[in-house]
Amino acid sequence: MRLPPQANETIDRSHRLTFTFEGQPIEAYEGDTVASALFAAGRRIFSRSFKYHRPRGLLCCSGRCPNCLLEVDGVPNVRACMQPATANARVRAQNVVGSLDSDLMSFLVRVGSPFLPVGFYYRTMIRPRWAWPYFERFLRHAAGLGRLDEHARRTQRYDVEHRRADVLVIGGGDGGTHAAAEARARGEEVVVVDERGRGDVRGTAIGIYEGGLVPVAADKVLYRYRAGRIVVAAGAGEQPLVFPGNDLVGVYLPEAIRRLVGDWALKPGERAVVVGQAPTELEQAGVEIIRVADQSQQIAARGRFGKLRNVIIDGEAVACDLLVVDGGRQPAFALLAQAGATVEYDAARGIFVPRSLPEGIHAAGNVTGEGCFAPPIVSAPSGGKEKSFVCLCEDVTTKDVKRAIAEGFDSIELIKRYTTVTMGPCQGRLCQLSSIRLCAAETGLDEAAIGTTTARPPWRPVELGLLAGRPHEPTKRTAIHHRHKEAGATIMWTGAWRRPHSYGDPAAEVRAVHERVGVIDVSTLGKLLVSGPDAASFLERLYPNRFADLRPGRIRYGVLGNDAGRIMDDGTIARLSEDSWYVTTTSTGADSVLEWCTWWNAVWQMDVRIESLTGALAALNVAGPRSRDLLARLTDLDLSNESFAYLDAKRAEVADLPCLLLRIGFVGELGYELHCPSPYGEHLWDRILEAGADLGCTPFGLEPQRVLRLEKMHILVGQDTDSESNAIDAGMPWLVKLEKDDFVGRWSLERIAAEGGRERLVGFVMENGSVPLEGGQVVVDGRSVGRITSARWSNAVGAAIGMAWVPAELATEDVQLDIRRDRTLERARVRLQPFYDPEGKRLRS
Amino acid sequence: MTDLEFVRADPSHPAWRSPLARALAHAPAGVRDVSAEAQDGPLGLAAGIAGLEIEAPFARTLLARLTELEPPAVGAFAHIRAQMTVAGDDRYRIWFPQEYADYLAHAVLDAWQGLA
Repeated sequence: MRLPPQANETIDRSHRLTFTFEGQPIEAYEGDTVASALFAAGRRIFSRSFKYHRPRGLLCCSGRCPNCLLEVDGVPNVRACMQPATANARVRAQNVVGSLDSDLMSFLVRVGSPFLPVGFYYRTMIRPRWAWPYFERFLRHAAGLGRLDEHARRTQRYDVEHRRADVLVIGGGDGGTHAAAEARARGEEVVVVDERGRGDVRGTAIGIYEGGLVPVAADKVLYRYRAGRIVVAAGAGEQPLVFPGNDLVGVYLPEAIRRLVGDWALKPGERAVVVGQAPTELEQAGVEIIRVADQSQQIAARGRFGKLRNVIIDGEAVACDLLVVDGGRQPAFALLAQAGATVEYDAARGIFVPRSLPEGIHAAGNVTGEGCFAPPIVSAPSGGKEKSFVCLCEDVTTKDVKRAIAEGFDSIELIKRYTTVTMGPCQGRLCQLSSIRLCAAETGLDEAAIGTTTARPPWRPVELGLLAGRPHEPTKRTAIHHRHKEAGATIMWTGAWRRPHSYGDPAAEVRAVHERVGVIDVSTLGKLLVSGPDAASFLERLYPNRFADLRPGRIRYGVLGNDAGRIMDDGTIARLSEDSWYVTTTSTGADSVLEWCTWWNAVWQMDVRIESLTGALAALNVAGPRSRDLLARLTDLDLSNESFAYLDAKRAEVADLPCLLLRIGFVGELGYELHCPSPYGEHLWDRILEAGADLGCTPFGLEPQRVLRLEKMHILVGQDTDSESNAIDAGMPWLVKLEKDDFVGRWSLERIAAEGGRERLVGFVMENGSVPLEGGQVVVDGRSVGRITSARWSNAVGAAIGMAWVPAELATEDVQLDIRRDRTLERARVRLQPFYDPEGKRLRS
Repeated sequence: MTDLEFVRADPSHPAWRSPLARALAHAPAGVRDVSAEAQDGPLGLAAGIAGLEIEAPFARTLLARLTELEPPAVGAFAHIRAQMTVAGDDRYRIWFPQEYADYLAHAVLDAWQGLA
């Protein structure tokens, strides 16, 4: 039932809409909130409390308390008093078994509550340990704030938007409006954010972060405001009083009465008792005011089935269905405290007020303490049946706080953590002052000495979807990526890249490379151009091997080490001309190698220029015994072994495109890497496959590449090495030139060379033919002494092969290793030479 | 062939393919591929750069949903390093590493969908 039209009501009686609550249709007016429409339909119980499942009704009607949290269209914890009613919305109760009016959990918890004191989960249910999963399941079911469907996908769109303003005013009340007008008069660009729409943006500032970042939750968009100045005009919040039965349905704060009557034309009750000053709206709504008490009187409320029946004032019972309590107003200082303001207790007014505002942060209106006062705590009569709640969100009673203090948790921060007071959805708006006062009374300290708990964002509940924003995951794809998909490749992640795992049959792809010719997209390789008069000296200092003696047009393999001589990356280095070098890196190491080179160049101040060509160039590796025949169809370059030998680099046109050709052989066969501008990559790929069709040219993916390189015992940095691996132990001592001048990591490599490494990276062949797990253990005398880094089945070798780190004394050809698989040991034999073409004849053919 | 000739691409060459060609095949008229106009710049050589133009009354808002920066600027755009330029009223261009072409086009079209 609605009251006659009110002077400033927010509902539009000419527009009706319908939504459902627990499947039942609810009539509403445009301008209603979900809570006001439900109230108009006769609902008084809106939620069940967090722990005890006590019935809870409207209390503040301003989005500050937890009493009206409902699930709306699948989103839990929606503040129904702030949520506009919309047509066809589906509203449901949360945290109940049964219904709001009859919640089975409330009966169970009532029986069990003597065994559930504050912090019970720290000391009960922890033994026997095997039973904890059952306890945990029960607790998660019994307590909480709604239910999330863990299998749900995104059902709503959330966006994040960056905004700027000269002045951001948080709060559109009198203080905020005045501050905004002043700033505008100075010609500043001002944005006023207000939760009730009394400004430029209807939304909630959820915090003030470093650098003046203010996220504002505005429906389904999170605005990230940065402003030259921030004016906090968040106002002051009405405070509840702590007395027995203070959570009964029918107990309201004055603001709730003002909104129920003034905004939504709803009559909150029939017979009212008022503690403090009676809101004029009571009379306006025709509510009979039975008694007006003062905050210093002893008050207790009694109820039945959770609903208010009478109020006992100084021992005298007064029957009523409505109790309005005015506990004064506390400045909403949380945002200012987050920004760095100090907060001090004003004993004369009984409130905490913000002081010492940081630069660029201002306060306006009631948040400064102006017009605020909070009367002292009401002493509760003893022996009552009803609980006195300090914190409604977390169901923390005065008894809980006293017990925590008695157990030694006597600072407000410890009380907060032990009892969870102030940690619920209200974030201390309704319970911080009460808990501090109770702590003061129990400890004998004053409120100023106790202080406040740390204010942290979010200051208001915010949907996780808003914080997550849009699902952007930066992903790299090569210029040829779509060709791989069209060819039916299975795509896999390698770092930030999406690359072909294989094109359906990895074994056939390996065979094609061994017997005919294959092509793989290696555009992901890092590519650097290092040039300048000092380029050769720079590389000499950076790498453990020699480069100054490398002739233009030749290539050398290099392993990049860090200061401690540990392997960072590897790749090939081609000398294009006297002062120009082309350096390739691993795909995932491209960025870090660029940074590494740039950093050392800055340190050494050499005359060297380092440019990244990684994205500018596509790269294809054409490999296999017929690769020369294939390329000869696309280029005029003399590809004969005499003219273009293994580890030669040449620039030439291939398929009428400018290319750099590197004759190298990561996959162990005659092969050429072709590097060309990325925009030509797809065309080059097409031409190679066309030209090689009759030669059986086949694209191959990463999986066959891994088999092929393992057959040659070529390492994969990051797979076969870790942060402790060095080039000597990894089986590449020939690469470390200790006789040359200083280079990065030299000191460490000298020591390793002198003392001998403890581990060696070796190959192994399984005797039983089964492929062990990568990461599996190498065992000697029952002890784990090493680990497997790579393992695959090789058709070319006819065996399961792999690489492993083993103690140096085991790094001898044909030594037996035991490899653990589950609880059994399987036998393997050490191999120090490549499994396939150990002399490298095929590479050089 | 000079040292760097193998890094130069000519958009008029028949072999030249824009990295955005597929991603923007069905894009609204206000989202255009301008990769052919890429120049060597702070992001590297032109061959490695893709370019995308956004023109719409809400173009500035769209940018604000993907970057904190005020164009013209160089910095994070949809979490990757990009160069943003102003091409006219409600018209902006985003230059970025070509390997992110599909990703960035998707991010821009998704933001467009949220505003259009």
